[in-house]
Amino acid sequence: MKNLKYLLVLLLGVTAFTQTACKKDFLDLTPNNTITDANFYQTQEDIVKAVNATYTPIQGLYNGAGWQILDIMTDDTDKGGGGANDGVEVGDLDNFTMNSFNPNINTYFVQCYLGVQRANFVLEKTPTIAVMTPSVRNRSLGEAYFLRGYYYYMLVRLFGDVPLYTAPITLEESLNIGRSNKADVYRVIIADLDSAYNKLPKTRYTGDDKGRVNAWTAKGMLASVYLTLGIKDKALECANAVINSNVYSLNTKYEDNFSLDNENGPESLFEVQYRNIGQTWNFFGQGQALNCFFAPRSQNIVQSSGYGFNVPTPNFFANYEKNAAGQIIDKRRPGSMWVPGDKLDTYTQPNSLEGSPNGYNVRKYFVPATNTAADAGGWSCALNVPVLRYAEILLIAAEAAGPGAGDRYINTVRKRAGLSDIPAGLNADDFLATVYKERRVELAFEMHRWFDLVRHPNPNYMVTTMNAVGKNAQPKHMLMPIPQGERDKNPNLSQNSGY
Amino acid sequence: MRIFLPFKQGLYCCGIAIALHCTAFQGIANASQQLLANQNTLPANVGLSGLLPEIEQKFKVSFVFKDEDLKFKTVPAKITETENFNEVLQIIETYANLRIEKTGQQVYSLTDALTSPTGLPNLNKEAAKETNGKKAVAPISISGTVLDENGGPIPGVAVLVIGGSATTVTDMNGKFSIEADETATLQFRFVGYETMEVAVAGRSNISVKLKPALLQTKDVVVVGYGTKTKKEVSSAIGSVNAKEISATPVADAAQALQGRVAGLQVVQNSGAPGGTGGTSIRIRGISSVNGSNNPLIVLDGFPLPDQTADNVLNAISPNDIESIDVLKDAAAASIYGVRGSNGVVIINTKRGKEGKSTISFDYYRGIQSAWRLPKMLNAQEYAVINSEARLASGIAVLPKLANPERIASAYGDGTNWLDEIFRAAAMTNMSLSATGGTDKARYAISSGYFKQDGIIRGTTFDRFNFKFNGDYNATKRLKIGNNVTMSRTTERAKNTYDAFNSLLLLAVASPPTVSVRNEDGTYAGGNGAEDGFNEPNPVYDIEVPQGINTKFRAISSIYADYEIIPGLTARINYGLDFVMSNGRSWSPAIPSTGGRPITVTGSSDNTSYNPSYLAEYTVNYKKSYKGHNFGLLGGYTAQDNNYNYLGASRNGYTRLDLRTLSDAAVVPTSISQIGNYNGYGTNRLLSNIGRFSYDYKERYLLSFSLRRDGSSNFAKGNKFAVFPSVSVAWNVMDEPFMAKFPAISNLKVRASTGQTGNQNVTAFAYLQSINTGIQYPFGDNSTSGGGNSAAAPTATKNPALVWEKNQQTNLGIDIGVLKNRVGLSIDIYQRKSLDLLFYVAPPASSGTYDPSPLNTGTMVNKGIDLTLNAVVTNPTSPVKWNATFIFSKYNNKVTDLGLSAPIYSTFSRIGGGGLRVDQGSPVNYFYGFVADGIFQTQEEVNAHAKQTVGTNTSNGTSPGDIRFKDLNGDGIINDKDRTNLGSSIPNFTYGFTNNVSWKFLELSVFLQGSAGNKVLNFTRWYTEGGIANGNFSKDVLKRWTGAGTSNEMPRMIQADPNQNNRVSSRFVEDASYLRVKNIRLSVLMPNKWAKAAKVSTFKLYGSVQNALTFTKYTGFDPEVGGGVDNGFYPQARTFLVGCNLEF
Repeated sequence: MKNLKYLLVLLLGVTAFTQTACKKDFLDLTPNNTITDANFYQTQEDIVKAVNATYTPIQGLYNGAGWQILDIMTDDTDKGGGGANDGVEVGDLDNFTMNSFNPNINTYFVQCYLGVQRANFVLEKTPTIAVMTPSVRNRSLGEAYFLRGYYYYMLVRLFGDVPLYTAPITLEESLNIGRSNKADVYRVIIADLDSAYNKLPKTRYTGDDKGRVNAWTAKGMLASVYLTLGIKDKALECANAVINSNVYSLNTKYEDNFSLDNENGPESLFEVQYRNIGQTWNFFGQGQALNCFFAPRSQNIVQSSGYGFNVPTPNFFANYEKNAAGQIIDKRRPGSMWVPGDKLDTYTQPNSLEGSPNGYNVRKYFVPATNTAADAGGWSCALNVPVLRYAEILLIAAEAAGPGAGDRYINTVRKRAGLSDIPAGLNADDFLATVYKERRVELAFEMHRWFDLVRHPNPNYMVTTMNAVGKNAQPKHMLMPIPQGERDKNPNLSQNSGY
Repeated sequence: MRIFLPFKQGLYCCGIAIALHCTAFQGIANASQQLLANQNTLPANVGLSGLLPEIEQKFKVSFVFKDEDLKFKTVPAKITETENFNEVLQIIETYANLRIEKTGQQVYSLTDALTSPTGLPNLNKEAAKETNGKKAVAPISISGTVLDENGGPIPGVAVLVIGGSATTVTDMNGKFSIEADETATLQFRFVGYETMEVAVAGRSNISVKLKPALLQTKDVVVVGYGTKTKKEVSSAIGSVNAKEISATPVADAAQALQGRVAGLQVVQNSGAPGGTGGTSIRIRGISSVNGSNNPLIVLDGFPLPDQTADNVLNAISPNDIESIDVLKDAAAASIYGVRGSNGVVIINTKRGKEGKSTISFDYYRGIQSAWRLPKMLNAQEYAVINSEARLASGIAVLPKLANPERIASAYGDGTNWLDEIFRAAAMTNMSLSATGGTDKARYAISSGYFKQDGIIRGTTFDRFNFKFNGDYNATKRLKIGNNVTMSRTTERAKNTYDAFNSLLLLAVASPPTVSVRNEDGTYAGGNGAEDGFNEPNPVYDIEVPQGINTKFRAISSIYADYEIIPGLTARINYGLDFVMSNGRSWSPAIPSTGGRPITVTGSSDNTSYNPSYLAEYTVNYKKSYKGHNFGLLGGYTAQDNNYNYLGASRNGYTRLDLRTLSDAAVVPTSISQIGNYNGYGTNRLLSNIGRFSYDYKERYLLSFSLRRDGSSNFAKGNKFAVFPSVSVAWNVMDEPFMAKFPAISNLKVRASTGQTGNQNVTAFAYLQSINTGIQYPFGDNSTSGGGNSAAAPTATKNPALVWEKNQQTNLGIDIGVLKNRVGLSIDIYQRKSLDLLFYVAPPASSGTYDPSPLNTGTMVNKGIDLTLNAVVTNPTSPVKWNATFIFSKYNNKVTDLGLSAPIYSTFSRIGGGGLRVDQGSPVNYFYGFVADGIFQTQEEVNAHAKQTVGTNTSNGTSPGDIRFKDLNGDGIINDKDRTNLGSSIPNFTYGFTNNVSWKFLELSVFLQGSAGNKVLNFTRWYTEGGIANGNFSKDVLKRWTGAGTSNEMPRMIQADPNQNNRVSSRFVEDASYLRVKNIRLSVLMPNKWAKAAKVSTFKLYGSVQNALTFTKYTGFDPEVGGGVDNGFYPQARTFLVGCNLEF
């Protein structure tokens, strides 16, 4: 019986441990020192953070890829900068010698998919959150739908068919995903923007939420999508919805669209939010790099001296309407670009500069060196960059409505620029050319020109226009190459023809 | 799988017949071998007659015997633990020299084998004499004593007359008396000792001393969850016994394993005292690229938690270790499943034995010093070279050094910085242990103190350790016991490992024209303006910042064994490994003109507490039937490993006397003065184990093992894994046909294959980590300040992430010749690491950019392990020389990177290359440029591919610069001209252990070495001009100074426009070495001295550790962990003397 005593003691010990060890969840541990999907996406605050992160890639997209591709590649601007070796990859875009290794094209691709995946997480996780203010829940879903649609819209216009997915993707899936037909991509874009319109508030944001997208941003973007697809009635319907909402109006002064004091102003449907946080030499921080890159080269009128990239061409400059005396009457010119003789305090724009033989430079997104609070240099400028303005909505409506019915929209835009109405009774082709020209001037350097070139009803329009300004664009350039690094990892990713 | 079972035709004898076929002195039964060898000393024997009733009851048998026959017959007490009745019979037969016959159902007769050589009870000795027909010479009565090698009596020794029939055994005092003819020869036989023959030659008193048997190798091998005899082993297991471990004067027992086991590569990462710099143990190469390569260590049955650090063993006193067994192949290691892929090291500490208590005291004290230090330039030479280097770069000479002639008078030889940091250091070890026990209870206790000062000033290590373990036979069926090993280690360390602040690098780089201290006693050191050198003063770094780490570790377990029915035992084992450590540092703001002085006084204190709990339930069943032996093991284990840490720091102290973090000492005024951190976590394992083993007469052996592991490191659905293995062996020696080969005394072939895992990858890597460092600024037109918080995954999720797998196949052969005077074991193996975890850069379309862990790569190690044992001298020679030679070689190759891009890791300070992992090459090879001599003329520069194009000799490649090979032939030397410069993996490693004894002297010489391993000697970057205005090694005196002057050492030029100091074959050195690791001479004091001192053994010894090193390597020490010599702490040469007393 003595044995039993020992056994009992031992058995007690056994029980104590096995009680814990045998529990089914003995091996189900989660980390307590890192944030993972096991402990994130659990509160409203988490979802808002996830939504915020979905906006973030647009900063890098506009800093590191937008102007290099969508403006420099066009007849609006040339590379500029400090000689041929300064920004070789941008030079390749300018000269249509880009290949599938081009880093700007890669950045464009990367940033868009960052946004797509993050939107997918928001859309997957938001419905799982038990406690959430309904308005925030709807807004968050709406923002994610909008942003996913927007990023796909950016992708499909530059690359055509692209990998398409609408739920978070695993590493294995991403290593094997193929390209979807661009029609399918557009279907998702339209559905997303529709969903976004339905979920988002139909009023402007105030206070700390300024800069978020609302229902009209979605509707306006949808107008742009329909116009790109050539579905004019729907484009007009969408544009009119925005116009008739009476939520937006044109700024009195054109240059207020690019002013620190008027960010997210009455004309702004969507703009890239930037802030000076002193982050340096990085396209992917919160600072805006355009100020430094576009400012007259080495003139020190901005922090970090100014690099003089993205130089307007004479061909572009010629679009500003002049009076009989040959003076430019278009009020938009000074807000858009520097020309020789322009003054800022003691600075005078010279007749020519390194990289800018005609003394032209982009002035949009300019913050002077004296404003150190808004620009710490090192590509950290606080000024926002517009993505969608009310003026563009009017121009979309004009183009969609066509001659006659469309005149009033375009004339509203021209009126602010101090220009007279367009001639009434233009034929369809002339009217389209007029709208195109107006878009070119009104939306100059806002990274729209390339998309206008490739969406023109005349499929040869881009090549013809580029060749006319001496650029060796070919039909293959209607689509940019899928980055080679992607194709190296993913054997199912086909390349656009010609690359 | 089909298995050929060749034993069916061999069923000719069965059961007790085996015993009858054996005569008492031929072939020692394995079971008895097991019992004997377990102790390495005489078995604690007890009277047989007292035990028989217990055996009868246990096995339900009866014995018939005459009391007279059992008088003085002893057997090891452990016989009562034996579960196999055949083994019991074999032990009785062997130890007691009894003949056993089965005379009925469960009835056995025991008769004295010696008095009845024919097997029949012979009760009449006279009659026997007549039968033998030898009555011619009158027998005389002879008496005497039989002693062991230490002079102690041996009871139970068989004494017989050769050719006669008289036999007897020695009594408890080793005494015997026997009748024999005057001309007869007596034979003395005892298990474990050499048989001895002595001519009577008319003497009536004969005392003999028996010598331990040759090649008394450890015959019991510890396998996972059990033991096996060496003969039963079918996998690849290497063993080291206590003697070899304790003969090496080191704190970390892992260091004592170096060169002792084939297939085990041990590299001492550093000579820091206490082994605190780490000792890397690699079993059969490297199995993982991103995971841990450290083997699992099982201490007294406790699988210690996964270690990422290398110095797990320095908490245990080497004196306490009884045996170390290394499970090398998958068949041996797979019982440890998901933790077995790097092999398993099983350490058992000493346990008490039945018999007389032994108290043992061991003490040694030694002095350590650096065996080699680089030769640096003296003040004048330095002035010459430095001025030359500056002028070549077009920089003005330092005014201080402008007149070399004056230097000698002003500075003499200058400061010898190496002498300033190195010292001769003491090392002391004391250990006291007591073991003993009865048939009911056994114990082993010990305590020890070890203190080692480092040969670099300011570094020390000490350890107190206590151990207690006991075994208690609570009832006939229940045995309980425990293990407790406790230690406290204290370490003061200095930086001897990083490329920026290693004291050794600072010491070689500090100019001799800089002094340690100023005249007023304050710290001097390189002054930026005056010396152009502003690295820290190494003496300051030794003396000013203070840090101490204290670690407490208690590893303990309790167990209970219960025999349910004969042969079926259940075991419960609970363990606790309790590690608690505390680190304190204090850095007072004491000024120095050298670089990076401490300017803000700071203090930090952190404590960690890492308990691990273990519960194991196993059932063991053994059954023998007609020569078929079956064993079955089943079990369930759970382990719970935890870590917790809590630490804090403060800075800005205004007083230097209060070093705590309390408000009295410092009141922080800003958040930057406060650091607080903590963390904790758990890792768990839940496992089922199973093993089936079968053998037929130990001739044909087969073993299957299976472990199912569940690990908390992986996602639901991927937590569990099954690790199977199978091994077979054939003891060819037991085949009758082997009788035709008398020269061969042992022959066994083995084959195994199996799978193991490596769960030691980042825990929770399967979860999607969320990057919370993202922001986006909403809100009014604020211009500055942070944006809104944002968070998103920036790496993809891989819920399918699993452990790395290792598949290993092993073929082995064991051969013994000349009565096992020479033994050879050869194992060849292939280890294939599958599903290697690599961090794969995701495609952008995944919407992420951080690399994600993916099981994607494959790596293969193929190798050979060879062990040769030999008794070099003739067995009859008074000089005994036993030698063991081990040889290991493996080839490592990353065969597939899967989706991962080649992995490239760069070095600190030295640019242009790095370590690279690429398909088709060994892991982490050196990647850099190939140096191809020195340009002697401008024509040679012009003719070669463009290196650095400058306008003149000070800014472009010039004569005197190193020519780098244009590997891709494009006419430009750039990153594309880099290649594989070799690997730190040796071509082979070897160890050579020699023990020579003669009378009371014993000499052991242990050599160990490595061949073909490369080291990137980063110290040369410092000593050959890498650091501006730093000192140089004497080698630069042979620099290039004009055409034909040197093709090895480039011109001295401070700005180094040609990047002579880039990563190139110039700095990759062959670090092959042969080291006389240990020489030890012991003197066993004569018995009468010992008696006078009232001790049973009194031994004095002297030894030299790292006596000699032969190497071409030019750095401090060729033994460099990881292959990049960042100025590591070199190993010391130690001279010591010690004594060993047993009471």
